[in-house]
Amino acid sequence: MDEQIENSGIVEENKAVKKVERKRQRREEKQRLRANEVQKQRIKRAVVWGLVALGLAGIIFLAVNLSGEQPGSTGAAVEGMQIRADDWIKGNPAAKVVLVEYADFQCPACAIFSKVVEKLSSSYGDRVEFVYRQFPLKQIHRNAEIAAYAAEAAGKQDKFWEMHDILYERQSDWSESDEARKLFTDYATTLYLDLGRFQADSEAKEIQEKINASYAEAVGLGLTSTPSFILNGKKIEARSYEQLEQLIRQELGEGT
Amino acid sequence: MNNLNSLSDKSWEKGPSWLVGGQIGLAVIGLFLATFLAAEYLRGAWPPCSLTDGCQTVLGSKYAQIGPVPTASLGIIYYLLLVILGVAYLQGKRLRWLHLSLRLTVVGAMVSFYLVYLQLFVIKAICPYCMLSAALCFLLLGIDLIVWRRYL
Repeated sequence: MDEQIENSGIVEENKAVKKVERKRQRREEKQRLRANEVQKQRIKRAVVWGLVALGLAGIIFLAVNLSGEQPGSTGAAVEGMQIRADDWIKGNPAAKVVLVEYADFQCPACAIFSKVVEKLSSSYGDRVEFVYRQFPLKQIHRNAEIAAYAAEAAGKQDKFWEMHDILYERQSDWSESDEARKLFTDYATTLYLDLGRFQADSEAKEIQEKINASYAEAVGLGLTSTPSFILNGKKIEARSYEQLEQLIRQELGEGT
Repeated sequence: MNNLNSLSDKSWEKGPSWLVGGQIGLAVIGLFLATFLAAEYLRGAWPPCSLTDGCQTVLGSKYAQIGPVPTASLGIIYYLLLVILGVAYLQGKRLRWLHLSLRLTVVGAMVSFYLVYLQLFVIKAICPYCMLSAALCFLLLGIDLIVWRRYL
């Protein structure tokens, strides 16, 4: 009897041990599953974030590539492009290749292209004639017209290109200024111009008529923006030094 | 543990998910626009000044730059953050990300309002891309306000 009781006691004990063991196993299983779940979740998250990062990088890449991507091209021929005695000219006046630029002193793109044309004229000045014509976009640029007058007035004292350079360099100073006229007079002073004459010329009818005629001509040519370039009588589209240079080289017959 | 609890709580699945999806979609469009504008600005090979298109006037104005960086780069950071917050919310459904989004869109809409004001009354020229970006900012604020009213 005693033995039996003892035995059953052992059985009971074994059962209890097994129960605890099973409980423990179940708990461990649960924990493993949960750990698995967390791991899966983590991987899923990493994949999603990776895809998001890739997608965003793709969008940024696309946007950067789309900006400023317009190739240079030659457009329609324009009628009656004659070089006149009162045109402002750089380079070789006898050259067969003539680049006419219609520009506005208050246009930021023109300021950039003034540097481009400067660089071109130093490389191609012997073979190309560069003509600068005024196209002040007075509807959108409040001081464009008086800046054009100031440049012409400086031109009366043979300092057109000098004033042209200063106006573009200091464009941000005078563009939206209420005192643009005063600033122009300051520039005239630095060029040692006769100030009395400069101021009188800045308001001269003759100069205003020249600018009006130049503006009307540009509109007549169908131009709506500055800078607009006309190369040997054909409108061209160019947005960088390289594009403009390439078109000039083609016209010069220097291949690509 | 926290993560798991919120994951198993399916009631939020039907919540503002599609609205947050809208936030992500709009922010992606905005990111494209802002990057395009910043690249145009930095390239300097700008589109010419035009009587018919005011983009140049706007990008050429002194307001196109804040210190050394283009104003459009603010937009890049803003839209990027909104995409990240949106995705973060959809991943863990934690409301904290929605609170942050809402705060960000309020600031974004105020900045946009100021930039639109500058275009209309100070620069007096309109850049369609900039206006589109401003419109996106107002839409984003709208979305996040709806999320706020309904769920926060």
